[in-house]
Amino acid sequence: MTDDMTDEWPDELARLSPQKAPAELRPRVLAAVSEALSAAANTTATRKRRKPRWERALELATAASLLIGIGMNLWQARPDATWREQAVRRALEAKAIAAKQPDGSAARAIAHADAAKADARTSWERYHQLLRDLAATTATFKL
Amino acid sequence: MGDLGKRLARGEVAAFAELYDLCADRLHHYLVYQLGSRDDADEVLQETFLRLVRGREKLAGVESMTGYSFMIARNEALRRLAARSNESRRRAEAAELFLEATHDDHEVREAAEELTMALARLRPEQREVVELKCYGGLTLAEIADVTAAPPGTVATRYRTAIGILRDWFSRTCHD
Repeated sequence: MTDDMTDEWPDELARLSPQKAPAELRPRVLAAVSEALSAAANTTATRKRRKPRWERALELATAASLLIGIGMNLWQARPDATWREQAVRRALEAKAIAAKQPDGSAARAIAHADAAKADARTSWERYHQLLRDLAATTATFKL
Repeated sequence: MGDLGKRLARGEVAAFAELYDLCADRLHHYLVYQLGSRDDADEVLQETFLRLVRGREKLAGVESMTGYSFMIARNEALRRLAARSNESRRRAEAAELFLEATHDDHEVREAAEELTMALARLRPEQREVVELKCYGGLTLAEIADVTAAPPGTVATRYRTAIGILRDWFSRTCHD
């Protein structure tokens, strides 16, 4: 850059003084600057009050995990409930069909199964009773 | 200047007042020349400072705060001119540019008007370099930054403008 020519300008130009900015402009501009800085500071403060991004991400992840867990539980329970409902329906239908049989063979089979169940329960109770009786007696096992 | 830049970047109102006192008069004169109206120059000068506030984070790294302010002011002025592109560009009168144009002495007043006429004869890019150099107080390197022109081009424009003005003055003196 030819800095030697920076002072090279006609006297005519140097003789004139440029008009200045009006005096009333200074307070106006500085008031606007001050206002803009205050507004920017408020915006920054609001931004700072907001939770950090990682914290919001963590909250969202927790909420999402919770929802997924609930959803999976519901999904898991749904086929089971359906299965139970279907099993009860099938049993009722089978009993209804058996009850309609003229020879009563199916009804007897169901009754037998029911009785077996009842008998099983009774046997279990009888077993316990036997144990209690054995404990109460003075008799010992003979080898 | 580095310290002023840091204070401006921190958003200190006092620093902006300091910057205003440093270059507002020169910026205003440049804007009057660009826009041809003191009222428009007032508005654009205010907008320039608001733009400096909005982009204050960058100011900490600015080497020449005056040059940077001129660059912002120039951009604002050009935006204003582009918005009213359908109107013919108004040329600032001598009284809007120079104190001597309103002087009581007739000869002083006439000299100011002649100089304004001489400046008006320059091509816009030459005139801008003269304004920024002589009344803006910028170096040719700073003018190159402000006008986004190569330094060599700026130097040529300045040299040519000075030649034209000298020629004009010599002819008017002989007349």
